[in-house]
Amino acid sequence: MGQADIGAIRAGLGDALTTVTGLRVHTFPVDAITPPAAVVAHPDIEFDSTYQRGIDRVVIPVHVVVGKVSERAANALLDTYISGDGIKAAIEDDQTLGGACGDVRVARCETSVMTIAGQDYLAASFEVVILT
Amino acid sequence: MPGSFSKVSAFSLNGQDLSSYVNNVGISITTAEIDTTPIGVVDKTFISGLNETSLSVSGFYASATIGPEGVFKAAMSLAAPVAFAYRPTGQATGYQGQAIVTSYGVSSQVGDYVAFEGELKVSGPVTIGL
Repeated sequence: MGQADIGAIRAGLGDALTTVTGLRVHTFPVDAITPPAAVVAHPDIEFDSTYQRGIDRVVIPVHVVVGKVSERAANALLDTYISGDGIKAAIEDDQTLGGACGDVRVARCETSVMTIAGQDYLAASFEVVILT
Repeated sequence: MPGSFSKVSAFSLNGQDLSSYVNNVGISITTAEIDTTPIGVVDKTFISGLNETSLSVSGFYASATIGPEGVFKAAMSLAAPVAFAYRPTGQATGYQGQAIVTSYGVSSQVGDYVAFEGELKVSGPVTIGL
């Protein structure tokens, strides 16, 4: 418990995502990516969930880009990542993200087509909810 | 200047500061009303009776000895009242006294955090120093 250390949370998420075989991990948004890749985006923070700065609530998106929309392999990879034992399981394996938080939960996932550097990619965005 | 955010509130029980787990405390102080209305009058009259004070406390569950689970259960196991302190504005003495724990429970709803809830009944006077 304590105040949100976003840097430590990013690092913890990065460590968790690197356990996914073949996934390139960026703990900050980047200009260009090579799929499959995960990008830890910028958080929303709700301060003061308890008295005396005890717990903050952080919602941090993690975007996972798998490849071109028309690629069969990319679609299959997306199915793997968005299953319950995919990205969600990897992130929640260590409930403290290496001591960066009190608990972590991947609350939801939404698939989409993302345009990066003029190229459309098949992607999934995970909503990661963290209690500090 | 009126108004305070409750982020500065503080609560402790039996010497353990539980503030960082707690997100809601309510204190209720009631006085018994004793009807002194004589026969033959139209308007009722009353005097104050004995005071009774209770507190409800809720927040994030933690199983640690120094967390709500450990502190509330330890207090429940004691015959004698234990000290409590509730400081709504985080300053001065707030409400302090001795109390027994009359209930403690845990709940967990999917999609939300694991929560605890406890009830205290004050034994003896409450010192108020807001």
